[in-house]
Amino acid sequence: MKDISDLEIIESVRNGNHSDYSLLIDRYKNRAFSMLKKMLRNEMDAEEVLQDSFLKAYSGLKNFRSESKFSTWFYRIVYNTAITRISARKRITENEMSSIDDLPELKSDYDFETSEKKDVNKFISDTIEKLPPKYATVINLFYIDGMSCEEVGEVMNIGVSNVKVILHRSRNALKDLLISRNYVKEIL
Amino acid sequence: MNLVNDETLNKYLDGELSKYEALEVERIVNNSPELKLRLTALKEVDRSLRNIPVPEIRFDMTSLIMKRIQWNEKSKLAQKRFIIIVSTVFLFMCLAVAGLVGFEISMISRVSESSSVM
Repeated sequence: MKDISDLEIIESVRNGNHSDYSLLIDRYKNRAFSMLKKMLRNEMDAEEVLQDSFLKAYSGLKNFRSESKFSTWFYRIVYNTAITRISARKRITENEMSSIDDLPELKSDYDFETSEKKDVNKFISDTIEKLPPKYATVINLFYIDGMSCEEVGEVMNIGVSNVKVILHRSRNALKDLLISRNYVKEIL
Repeated sequence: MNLVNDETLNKYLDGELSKYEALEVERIVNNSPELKLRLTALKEVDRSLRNIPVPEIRFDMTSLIMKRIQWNEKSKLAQKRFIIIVSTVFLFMCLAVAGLVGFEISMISRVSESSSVM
């Protein structure tokens, strides 16, 4: 089943094999959930938004144009649904979301000194949960979904240069944290 | 390249520098312990980000979504049927009313015709 392309599945669903849509759900649910968890910082909200996104994508399949990638199209639905949820919660306004200067000083609860094995992966993984939604989304789409900066920009409706700025700032913030914890000196 | 800053290091990491620029960065970094520290940290961040575990949803979301889709399809179908039934009933009622009106008109005209003959 892994060999079947997204477009073949979509064609099959359009031809009346509705159950084939489950293949697309299985293919994207965990990675999209990862992005939503970082954006919404709440598992239940992430699960709800993910379900809504899959339902929206299903009803919009007839409008999907095969020239673009399904993943980019689908993640745009996921991203916009999450933004709507965030705006509804009034926790963060759209204006705040669109700013690229809103990267606060990062902190991590993970303690290198006391942990037996200095697990940098765990440290980074914990810390990106604290990134602002826009930064976490860029990191997720770029690293977990393996999208190019162009594709990330398409999903989030921002320019490629903005994507790069966000990506670099996020990496720099994480890098500074590693340096401040003296992690790198030990591996050098 | 006189200045190697974080931006340059990020570009170096992403392979966005020309071959000449990349070699120049490597030369400068090798001569500066501080830059070496920053580049190593950046590489470590990049490596860790590539290894971020993807969380798994704890329940069978696929079945749940498919059930919701089926339910939506069924309710759409039921809605369609309801609309068809209502419009058919409405059409029959209209036809019945039109027939009744036509019958009444013809009766009135017949009555008026017979009264004029008398």
